[in-house]
Amino acid sequence: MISLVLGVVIVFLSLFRAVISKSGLVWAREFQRLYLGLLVMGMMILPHWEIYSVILDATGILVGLHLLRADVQAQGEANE
Amino acid sequence: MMWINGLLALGFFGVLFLRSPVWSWCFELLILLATVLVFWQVSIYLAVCVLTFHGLYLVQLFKTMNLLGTTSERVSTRSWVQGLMIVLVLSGALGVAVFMLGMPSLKVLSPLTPTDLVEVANGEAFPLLLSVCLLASLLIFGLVTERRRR
Repeated sequence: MISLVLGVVIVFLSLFRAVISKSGLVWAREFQRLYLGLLVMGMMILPHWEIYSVILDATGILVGLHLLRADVQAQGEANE
Repeated sequence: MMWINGLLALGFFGVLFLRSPVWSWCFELLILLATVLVFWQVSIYLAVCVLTFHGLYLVQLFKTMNLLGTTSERVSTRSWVQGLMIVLVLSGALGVAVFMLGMPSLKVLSPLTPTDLVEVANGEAFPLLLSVCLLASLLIFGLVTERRRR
């Protein structure tokens, strides 16, 4: 139960910090914690979530890497 | 289970309130470790998957932030690698040492062995032992890297 609450707190505060920030790097970093919070929540709600949690996690990480690459590209273009 | 919650809470509040980049990355690793331990209770395979995905992502994130990041996020890659080596070596050494002490086959040490070390030998307390060792190593890593940075 405490893990579930902690998962919810991590998700919401990370989401809040990501939304108020204008930096893509902060978004990428906050999303990392958001995925971890979602995983903890999911595992507490459905203990037999198993392989689906890994699929969700892998998809989330791909989105995070895409965000990171997009931010690097945007910063490069801004520098040029 | 309570101590995993404690690790999660500690990691999260560390990331939230500590402004130092070294400590911030240390607590980031702690959150990852606590999540892996939550998954470990269900399946070691799932825990390894989570550790691999997030480990790779954290490395990529760290490298990018180091290249592009602001001064508050900048930590020397060399000191980071050296610190990581300290974490790995210390946690491995501590883990092996405590595991060996807890083994019932070592009769010489058995009078000195507390009950929790016997649990370690049975494999029941291994995640707890691992997390304690990693926590100690992260603390040493943070202290060493922070001192070098200054």
